[in-house]
Amino acid sequence: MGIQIGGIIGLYGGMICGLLGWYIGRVKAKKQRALDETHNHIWQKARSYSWYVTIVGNYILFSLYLFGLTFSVAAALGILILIQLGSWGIIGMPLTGFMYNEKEIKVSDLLIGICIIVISTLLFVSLAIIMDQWMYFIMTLPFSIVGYLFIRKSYTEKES
Amino acid sequence: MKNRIKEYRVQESLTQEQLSRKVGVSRQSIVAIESGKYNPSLELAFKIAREFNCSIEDVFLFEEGENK
Repeated sequence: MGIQIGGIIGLYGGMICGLLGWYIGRVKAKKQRALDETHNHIWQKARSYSWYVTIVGNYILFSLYLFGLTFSVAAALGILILIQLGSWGIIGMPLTGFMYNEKEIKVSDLLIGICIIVISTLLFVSLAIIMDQWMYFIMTLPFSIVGYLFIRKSYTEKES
Repeated sequence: MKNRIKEYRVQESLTQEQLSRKVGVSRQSIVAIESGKYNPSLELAFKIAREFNCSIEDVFLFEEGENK
């Protein structure tokens, strides 16, 4: 098996970019005293929720395997990392919005929006990896836009 | 848990930003605490109460059976 240059660039380049973004974000946030206990509370809660999503992801992968769909260890691990980190970020953002918003939020719209984004992302990214067809990944975009519109609506409706 | 932070803050003519600077958190955290969405840690609650020169019980009002 030869060395995959693209894979190495993606793996380590992605890690370096991610760590850089994380570090710059923290430095900026620290200046605004944003790394306080509320921030920790929100992101710890998001991480605990993301574990539930990861368990669901695990079960989906096991189910797919039981139904005869095979995929490599790397693909399965990739999907699980994506689910874990992705759901952490996706859940953390609306939690932040909910916590810091000065007005009431329509929770049903917020939940619908989050569910649309999380489920469509999980589904299409898993399909893209399993089928080795990256076009599936693009399919998450329209669903994510619809989910985002629901989340936006949950914030704007109360102002009227 | 209910609190009277806004009441005390207005009394002391402090903005959310000013109070947040004094107790070392972000303005958004003060927003979350004032609106009752977040219950602060004991340490932060003491800091806030101290800023208003009153006891923690004066600022934060505990009601029996809130978490049941």
